[in-house]
Amino acid sequence: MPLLEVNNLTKHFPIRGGILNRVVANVQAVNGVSLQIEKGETLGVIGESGCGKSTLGKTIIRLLDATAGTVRFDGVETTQLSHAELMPMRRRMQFIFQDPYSSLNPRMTAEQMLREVIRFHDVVSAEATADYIGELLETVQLRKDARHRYPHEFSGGQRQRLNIARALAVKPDFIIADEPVSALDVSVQAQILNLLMDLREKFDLTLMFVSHDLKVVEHFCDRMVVMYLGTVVERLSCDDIYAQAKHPYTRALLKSNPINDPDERGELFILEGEVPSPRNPPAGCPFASRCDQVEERCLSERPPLVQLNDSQQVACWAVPAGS
Amino acid sequence: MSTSPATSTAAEVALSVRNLTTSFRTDRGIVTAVEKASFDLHRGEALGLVGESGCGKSVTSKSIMRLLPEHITRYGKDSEVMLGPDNLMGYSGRQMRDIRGNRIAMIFQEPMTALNPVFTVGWQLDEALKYHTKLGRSERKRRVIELLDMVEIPSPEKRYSEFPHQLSGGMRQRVVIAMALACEPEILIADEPTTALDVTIQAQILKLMNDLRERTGTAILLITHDLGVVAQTCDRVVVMYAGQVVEQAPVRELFHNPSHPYTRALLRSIPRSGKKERGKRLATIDGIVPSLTNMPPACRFADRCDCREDRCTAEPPHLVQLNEDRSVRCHFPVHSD
Ligand SMILES: Nc1ncnc2c1ncn2[C@@H]1O[C@H](COP(=O)(O)OP(=O)(O)OP(=O)(O)O)[C@@H](O)[C@H]1O
Ligand SMILES: Nc1ncnc2c1ncn2[C@@H]1O[C@H](COP(=O)(O)OP(=O)(O)OP(=O)(O)O)[C@@H](O)[C@H]1O
Ligand code: SF4
Ligand code: SF4
Ligand SMILES: [Mg+2]
Ligand SMILES: [Mg+2]
Repeated sequence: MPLLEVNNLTKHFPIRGGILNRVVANVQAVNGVSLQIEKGETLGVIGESGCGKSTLGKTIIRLLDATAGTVRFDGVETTQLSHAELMPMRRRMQFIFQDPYSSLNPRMTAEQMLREVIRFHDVVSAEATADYIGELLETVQLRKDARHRYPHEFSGGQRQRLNIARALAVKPDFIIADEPVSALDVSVQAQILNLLMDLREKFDLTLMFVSHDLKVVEHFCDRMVVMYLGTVVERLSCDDIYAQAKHPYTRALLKSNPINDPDERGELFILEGEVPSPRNPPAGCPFASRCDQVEERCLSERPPLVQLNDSQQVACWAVPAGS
Repeated sequence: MSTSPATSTAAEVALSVRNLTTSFRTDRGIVTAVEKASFDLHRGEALGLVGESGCGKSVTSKSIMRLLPEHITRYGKDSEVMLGPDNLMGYSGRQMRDIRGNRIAMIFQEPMTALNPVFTVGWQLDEALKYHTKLGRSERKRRVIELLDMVEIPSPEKRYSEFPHQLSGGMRQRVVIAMALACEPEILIADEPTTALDVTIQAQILKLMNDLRERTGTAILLITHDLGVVAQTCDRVVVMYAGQVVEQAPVRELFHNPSHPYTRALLRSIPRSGKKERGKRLATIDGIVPSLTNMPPACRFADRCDCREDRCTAEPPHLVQLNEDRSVRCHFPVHSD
């Protein structure tokens, strides 16, 4: 049984307007997403800005309430639980936010911040808390004197370490990391990725890793799902993405991703067309407005996510099942 | 940009920066953000300027354009920014205004800093042409539409009368490029022009700049911290660390054979593609960048460098020419492997 099983998860944000403050539109941020994450696995979630990656993560962990669909965590359906019932689950699932700057309380020192979560979930006894905080800071490789510092006194990379320490404080099984390294320089990014790889092994963590950087996902994750306009268009193993990717959008992403080798310079690949608005997604394939293989059927019928083999699913009419 | 030949010393120099030193008066005293930076930008080339956040890339470009706040900024006495025979450092504010947008144009990371939200796209482009050309009204309109078309904005006649907020982020950046190109500048300085954009949109913008360079011979100074972008688009690269130029080399040599220990460490820290690499620890650079107020007196990279020797903390290395088109600031440059 997978640790996390998401079925048909949907999250719409109503847009209100007019004098009566009626709902005038819905932003269909996440539209019928299904995925599984096995225990100990790291699943990458990739896609363009605004495709719904953060919303998906927040809805899974119930920082947002789902519009429709189900989430099963370790066998328990969580979308309908009351807040009291959710509490023990909350402790097992943690979220690392996209922005290391705004997700920390500027008026709390590192110690105060960690103490708050530790006491709230009663992770260790009151007497043991101080030692435990020291241990956590050491785990994320922050110096002991970091304890008494405020967020603005840390560099971007150090702040991200503190965010990770806060997520680890409750001893979770599952962490959703929302673009944890996107705001960092490559050399700092490498430090944080190394740290996450160490922690993943040490604490046997299951991870959902949200990113828009293919290089990072390929390096760090076991499998990935590719999202486009609120839906999953492909799921594949990270083993050999360049050979395996089938969906026209995934292939376009691979071709647009600049390779770090001047010898492999080619003609830059250009994806034409505009991304449709999530307020008014097309009836057919969400990628149709930019796809070079678009056919009649793509415009009217949405392609379902079809299993190609053990490790791959694709939602595209042009990719025959069993290919 | 794959087609352009490796630049040689014979290449025509479009802009030459010599000993550029830029300091700011702050409440912590005088801080020097850029120290003795020197490099040439050749006609028709794309020169990458790379380095980590805070190393002085934007200050360098804004010094060239003289866009830093006058009252707190000081330039070194021997600093030169040569545009042809003229040293822009000696230019008055008025003279600089004629250079900006005319002979040298600049694109910033956030397109909205260059666009005014209350005017239409067409109006803003028209203003740029009014200021820098002698074209009449209807000629200007034709030219604006031509420019929008050139940067591949769909239905330019319709977009002419739209406001910036009605465009997507990628389209806005294309409008900014159209504005920068309006006067066919000799030099285009692009400071992280694609950092805020998705990879598919990034590719469009890079292609656009590439086409421009090939068509008009405009020289491009491309500032970025994305080494992939550099590998795919630049001819030569200048690497900065803590306010100094530490290495300068043609793009292939830089990637395959970096000389400066910092460049080498930076390249090693990028995740690599392929099954074998997956989950492997990445190479990192220990320690952190020194702060502007507390620069190491000799080599600024010394406390993070794995090639350090006694001399490195005693004597500051100078930028030395290794051959015609390579230079490095290091006492013990890495040898080819
Ligand atoms: N609270 C909200 N109210 C209304 N719309 C929202 C809200 N939060 C997100 N959205 C919209 O939902 C869509 C998905 O947003 P989301 O933040 O999940 O994207 P993302 O994939 O994480 O993008 P990014 O890569 O830029 O972080 C976007 O169109 C966004 O504008
Ligand atoms: N007006 C100013 N007053 C004081 N210090 C400044 C000023 N502008 C920039 N600096 C400092 O100069 C240094 C170089 O800044 P710069 O903006 O050039 O970095 P950068 O290389 O462009 O970094 P990034 O990749 O983050 O854009 C930084 O330490 C910065 O804090
Ligand atoms: S379903 Fe049609 S439009 Fe969509 S990705 Fe496949 S071929 Fe392209
Ligand atoms: S001068 Fe010395 S410390 Fe500095 S980069 Fe070279 S080898 Fe390293
Ligand atoms: Mg997000
Ligand atoms: Mg900058």
